[in-house]
Amino acid sequence: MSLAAAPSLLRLSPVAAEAERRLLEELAARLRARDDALIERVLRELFPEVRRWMHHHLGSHEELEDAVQDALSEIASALHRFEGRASLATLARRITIRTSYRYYRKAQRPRPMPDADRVTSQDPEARVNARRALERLHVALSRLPERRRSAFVLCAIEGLSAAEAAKILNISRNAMRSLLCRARADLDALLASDDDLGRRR
Amino acid sequence: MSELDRLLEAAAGAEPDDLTQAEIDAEIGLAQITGRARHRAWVRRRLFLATSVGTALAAAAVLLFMVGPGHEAPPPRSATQGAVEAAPAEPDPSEMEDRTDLELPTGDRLRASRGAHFRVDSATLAERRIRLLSGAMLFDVRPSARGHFHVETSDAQITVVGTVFTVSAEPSGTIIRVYEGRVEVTHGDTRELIRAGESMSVPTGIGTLEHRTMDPLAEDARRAVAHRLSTPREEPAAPARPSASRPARARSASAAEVRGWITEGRARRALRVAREHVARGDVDPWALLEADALRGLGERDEAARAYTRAASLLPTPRREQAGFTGARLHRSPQASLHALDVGEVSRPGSPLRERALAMRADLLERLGRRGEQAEVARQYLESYPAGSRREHMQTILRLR
Repeated sequence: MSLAAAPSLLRLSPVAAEAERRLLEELAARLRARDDALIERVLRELFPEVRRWMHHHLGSHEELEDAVQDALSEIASALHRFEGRASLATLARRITIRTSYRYYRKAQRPRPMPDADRVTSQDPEARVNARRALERLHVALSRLPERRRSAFVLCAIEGLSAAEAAKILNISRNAMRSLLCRARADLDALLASDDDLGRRR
Repeated sequence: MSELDRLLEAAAGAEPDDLTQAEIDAEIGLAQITGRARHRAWVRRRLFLATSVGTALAAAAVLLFMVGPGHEAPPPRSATQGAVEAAPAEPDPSEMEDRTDLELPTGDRLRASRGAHFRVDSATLAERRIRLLSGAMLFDVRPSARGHFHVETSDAQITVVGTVFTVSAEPSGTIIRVYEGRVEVTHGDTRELIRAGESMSVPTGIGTLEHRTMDPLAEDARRAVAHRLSTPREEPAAPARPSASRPARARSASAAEVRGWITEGRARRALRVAREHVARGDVDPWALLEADALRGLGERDEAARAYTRAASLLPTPRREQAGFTGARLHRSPQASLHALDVGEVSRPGSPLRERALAMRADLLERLGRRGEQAEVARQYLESYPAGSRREHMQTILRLR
């Protein structure tokens, strides 16, 4: 199979079968050679994913679109020196997480915007409740340390396994499990101790 | 199911706003441009780092040799670029025979007295910054349109455009003497201008600025003014002094060319040309290009203000475009609302009315102005009964 015929470039892995590894090597070589058409294709594939990831990390943060643009620019820059040691999806996730840290630091506590129309339920009351739930979760998440928050978002919201998340954060599986346990305990405590969480911002 | 699990379920189903294909194309195009520019900057940083390390090692070896005991006064030397730290040596206040001459790649010349302890923090045309920790130094500064020359001591910050002056950092304070041009000295909240022929003493800690006369490099400074350190300067790679031909070339560039520069990542050049046009009152489309260039440079706040300004100057539809972009970039909801108003983005007939009304509703919610928000929601539903934000607007009215 050639790169042009590959259905997705994002998940090509260096630990996959020989044919896929060769495709990844070719992809890395062409990206380093600044193949603009290929870079654009990769960015187009990545764009919805990066937006979704960033939304999971920041919630409906007022600077969400700027954070997405920032992450995408950083990814575009990194593509020029992509060596294929990990998949493009892993590279992009790492950059997205790093960028989300910056936006968290900039706005010490993010202020999510109303999100009612993004939830699938058709009932307006349910949407309002869902919006409040989202705000509450993201305010609680914003009070966690960076790595704990990232670990929790990757596993609990994005549904990655602990091993996949550990690879993205470049930590051991045991460290990942520890981060997840602590994050969950912190969030339970925060939600239990502060009924007004999400409304006092 | 715990509360956390319920919240997680809600979060997993939430998706960000849908974007139009045109918006996606624009975002990807911008990412490609910015990505290329960032990659170039990354390559430059790597080169600079490699050069700096090499130069610093070489300079340290040379300086160690020069200030070491038993050596004769060394000949003037030249440094290329990077961080140079002169090791402190035994003070010899009687004479300034042991001196270190450095020439920065920006064309500026520095002379350090024996025992001077200093560091070149930055030596690019955009930023030239020297930290003088102790001892005396002479600065022969090349004028640059791109950035000032800064000298910092523990007591004062000295900012210059192009001049010859000396700075002496002593335990009791810092002494600045100006031989040509003028410099600005900052000490705490106090800021003073010193002109040619004047000197100033900045005391350590809190104290008043006062005139002083002592200066171990005075004679060198006089000579520098007279002869510019005796040898002709070589032009740096990028000319620091604005040349006479540059404005003429800049003026001849068309708006399309300048937009092309922004697309290629040459935003600084585009900004200069756009500003020249705006300064002459030629605002359409240059005010918008100025804002675009600032955005390309990552100057978000300045770009937001420039877009708002452009919205007040440009005809439709660029007025609405500038107002809407300014509103997106401003960090404060009040400023965003102001940009929408200036650009008349929400008026009937505006190409961006639907998005502007949606943004206005969000901004008013952040400000807690629920009455006005409900009015905006009503306007939205009247104009766009099938709009993508209709359900949100209906919810706003229902909650009201």
